[in-house]
Amino acid sequence: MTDESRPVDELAAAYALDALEPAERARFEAEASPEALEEARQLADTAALLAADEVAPPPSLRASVLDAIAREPQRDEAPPLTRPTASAPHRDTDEPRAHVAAARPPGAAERRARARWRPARVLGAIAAGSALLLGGVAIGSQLGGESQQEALGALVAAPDAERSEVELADGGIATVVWSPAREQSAILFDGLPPAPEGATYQAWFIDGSGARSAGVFEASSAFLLEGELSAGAAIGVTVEPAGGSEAPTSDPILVVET
Amino acid sequence: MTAIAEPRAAARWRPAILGRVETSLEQCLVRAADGDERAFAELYDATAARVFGLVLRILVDRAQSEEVAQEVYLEAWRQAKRFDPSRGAAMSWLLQIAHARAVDRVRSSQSQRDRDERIGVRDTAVPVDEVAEQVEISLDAARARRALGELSDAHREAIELAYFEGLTQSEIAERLGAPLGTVKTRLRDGMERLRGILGVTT
Repeated sequence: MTDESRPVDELAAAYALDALEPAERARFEAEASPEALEEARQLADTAALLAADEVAPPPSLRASVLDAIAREPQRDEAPPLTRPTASAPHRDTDEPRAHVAAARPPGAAERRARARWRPARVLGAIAAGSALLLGGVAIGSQLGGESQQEALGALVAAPDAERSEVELADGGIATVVWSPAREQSAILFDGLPPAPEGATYQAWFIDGSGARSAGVFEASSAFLLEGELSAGAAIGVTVEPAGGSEAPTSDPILVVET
Repeated sequence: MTAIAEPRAAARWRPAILGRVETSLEQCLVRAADGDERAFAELYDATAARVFGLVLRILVDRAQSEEVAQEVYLEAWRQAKRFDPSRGAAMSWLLQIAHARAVDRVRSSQSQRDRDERIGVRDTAVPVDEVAEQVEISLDAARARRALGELSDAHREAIELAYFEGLTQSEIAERLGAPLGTVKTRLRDGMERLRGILGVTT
């Protein structure tokens, strides 16, 4: 990929207006050029100038907000890096309202805000986007459970995370992300069609000893592979009969060397 | 919250009172990041009408808007350390959180239905000025209206559907019966033009 402008760059304005679907947002944050990310930041400032109408909220809101923050812990500067993985409990659980807020995926503003703290361009953007990856409905159901979602967030935020992008035969795009240090990997999809009737997608770790299943999944925008990624293994995906197979029975729709 | 004034509190209090302008908001937010609840209260007082105005404009429903506004401030409190005053204004940072939250909410289906209903009611029952009377017309608001007014109808329509109704670009295309590519172009060109008109104020 060159450092010139990229096709996804044209989404900067829509991104700044929060007018992208979760998968598109993820793609923009992962693939946009640094210029486009800066453009989006500036246009978001422009958009905020449109929010100029003032309507006084009821006084009770002030009391409620101040009461809530008094009991609400603040986060450290860069949780994507410092927060331990999957099992790290979210600390907001003892306060009902705060919990509701905490459980919701952070919005674009936060993602942009987070992005500001991250030096690395692409993975920084993905890491910031981890929240929005978590926000997608498909992902939520595919990964099932916040700890899985947090694991995905931690993976894309890992300092050693690498990525590789593959165009699928039908025109969709798969981005494989992996972290050797964490021995974890995930695949983000943009435009993956549903598996044929009676079939499922199955991911594999492939090394000298053969292919080892990394779990089955349905069409989704992200899949966190099950099992540890061993050094040098390739990651592949095949279409298998529902329930999955012991070993691949069809040609892979994608293979990526890690 | 402690009511006992520590020696420095008075000193911290003063500049915010003297200069209730953009710069003081950034200071409030930076202090809030250190756990200063009083600074956060100042920030709230200076921004709540704007935040609530935006959320209400998007969600229409008051009760939901109050919930979302509360979420916005909680998030701002939790994320205050991530705010970087060198990269932008506190008001903009806050409004971006508010916009994202309100849009998240409007895209949940029930909220969307409620909203459509309310908009339907509003459109048929009360012609124009129901909202206008509660809205304080500020200079900023007048400026925003003027800027939107300078856009072509097509650009303005696309931007308003995105920003104030929380539609995605695909939904805008559907709503307008226009190709997605056209909508992308309108959003992009329209926003570029807006930036030109409004300037970059940070």
